[in-house]
Amino acid sequence: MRKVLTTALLLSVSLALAISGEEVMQKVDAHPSPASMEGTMVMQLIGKQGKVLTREIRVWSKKSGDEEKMLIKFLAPADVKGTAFLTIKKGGKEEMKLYLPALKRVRRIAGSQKKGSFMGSDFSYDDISNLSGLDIADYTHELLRTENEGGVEVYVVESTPKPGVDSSYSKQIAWVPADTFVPRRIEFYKKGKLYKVLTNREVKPFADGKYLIPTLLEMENVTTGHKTVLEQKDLQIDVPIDDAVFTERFMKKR
Amino acid sequence: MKRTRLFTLLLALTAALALAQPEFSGSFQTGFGLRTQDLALALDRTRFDLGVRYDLADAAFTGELRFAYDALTRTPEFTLGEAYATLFLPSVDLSAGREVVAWGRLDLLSPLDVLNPRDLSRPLDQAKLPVGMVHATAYPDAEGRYQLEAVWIPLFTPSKPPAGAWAPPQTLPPGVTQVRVEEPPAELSSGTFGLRATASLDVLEGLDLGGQVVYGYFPFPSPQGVEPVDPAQPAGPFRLVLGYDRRTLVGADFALAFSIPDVAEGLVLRGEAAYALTADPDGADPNVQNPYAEGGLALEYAWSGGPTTVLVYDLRWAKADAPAADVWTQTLGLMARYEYDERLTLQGAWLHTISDGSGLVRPGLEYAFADGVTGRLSAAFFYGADATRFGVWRNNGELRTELEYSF
Repeated sequence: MRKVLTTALLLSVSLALAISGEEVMQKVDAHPSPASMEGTMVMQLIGKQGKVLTREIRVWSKKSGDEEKMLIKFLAPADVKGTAFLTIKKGGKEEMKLYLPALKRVRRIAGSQKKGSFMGSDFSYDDISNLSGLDIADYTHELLRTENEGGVEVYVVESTPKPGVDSSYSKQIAWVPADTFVPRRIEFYKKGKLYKVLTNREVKPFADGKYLIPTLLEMENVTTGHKTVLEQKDLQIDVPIDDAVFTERFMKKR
Repeated sequence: MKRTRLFTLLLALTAALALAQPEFSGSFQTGFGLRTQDLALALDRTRFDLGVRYDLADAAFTGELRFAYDALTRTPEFTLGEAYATLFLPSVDLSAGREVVAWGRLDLLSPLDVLNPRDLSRPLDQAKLPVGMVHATAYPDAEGRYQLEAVWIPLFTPSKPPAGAWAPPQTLPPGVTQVRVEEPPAELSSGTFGLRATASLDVLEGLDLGGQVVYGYFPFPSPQGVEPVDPAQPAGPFRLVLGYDRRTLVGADFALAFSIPDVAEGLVLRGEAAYALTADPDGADPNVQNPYAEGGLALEYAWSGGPTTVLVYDLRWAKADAPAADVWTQTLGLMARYEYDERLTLQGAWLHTISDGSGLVRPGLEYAFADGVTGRLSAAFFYGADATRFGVWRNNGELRTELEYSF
């Protein structure tokens, strides 16, 4: 009996180790993601000394085939209220437009800005648009090791951009628990050095558990000691969102 | 009976506005500036802006009031800013009232952005002046890729020229002792009309195209001739008559997002070109403004971990009165903005007129003390010879500090 148990345990361990980095990330990617989302995000920008600035944004996003659209409207602070940011990804192309109410002008912005800070936070525009998930086909994934956190097996996977892929980071390492396959923590590296750490502090089920969505995230810049806490509020999932939301007309409407 | 109707109307209006839940916003700003030449106080002002917006199902009302106090001249000033109502129809936005409209794609020098007059009384703080207009924007396709705009400004409002220390030196012709400015009559035929069409196309990483025509006036008056001050004394003294000439401005613009593989990813190139037709195409009549053309290009790039920069080039041609040679002006500009962290932003602008060697350098920084509380430090330095474009303000350089609370 003891032999049988030992054999079963060894078998399960070897099966667990048999999973590859690619397979882990495929399972992460296989999570059903909502076709549309609408909600408010509150960002707290926390300085090294603990001083806090708060930003509030309203976000609409929609996926349809190979097209992804996202509109962000800034609600607070007052001096940036009304600013709107639109991204439309389709067929490997990404369009970015910004509406500045002070100038009353919608302007196409440089794609190079997507690597820059989003509203002074530790998230880049790229990070915000990738919150729904990494495009796993653009990366090679290697399982570095497995860890045990609170009795849950956690896969540690390193993802490196494939040659020719324009990525903000030289590599990312994700901690993926085997029970949910929603990454708990992601380390972002630039030129091989640890740059930022994203921690999913809270993951909530939506649509009767169909979706598992991080609702409280923390991004820490390890080089500056600065961090940003992002909280998703009144999140509505799979609500019908008119395509008219993702237009210049809606950007200009307050 | 009349009182009852009025009361009912007021009650209905109050109820509608209360249901609409007005949204107030505004800012309180105070600041002062020192002239770089002698560190004398050149600016000491306080400003309070209050905005209100009512949003109904398919309509909105926007209104702005400004109270400003200039401590140098001890002048208080109340001004009405934008105040307009918008109807959101199925594929048309229709607004009427005092409004500011932005046309064209360039920020620093925009030859197409001519609908609103400008307040240039202090050129460092130049702003567009809202004017009464009817403004319609049509969105013929669901994706919003195409837009057609039409604007009608029934009454002419001139721009405010540089004033005080900023006013250029004026010399009147011999025998002329006075100046009379004649504005276009307040009638429908004196209106300004504008049409603009834009399209967003799927070319490279995105291409926006625009074309427009504006039938209006030059923003500043020009000499129209001289006349005796007293018609009974035709031999003089005389006065100079200044008037506003008509112009038809046609133009086109674009914004193109692209990358240069292995060199630079994610650039944006913007451009504008305008041609102004006037009643004197050959420069034969010295009392009528001549045609001009202006084109500009701006290249924007965000450097990794560094600033976002915009490099600008502008070329202007103006037909001179015969037999003088036409005037060509080339301007180079550079703008940079760097968000050091969530609180501190560094920015700067440099404009240089290649044709006359004059220019302006404007560094500045912005610091967020708390949510909605911003402090600014900035400077402006002019250089160039006396009679040049920027050199004329060589003694008006300024060091400035401002504090603003927005709510």
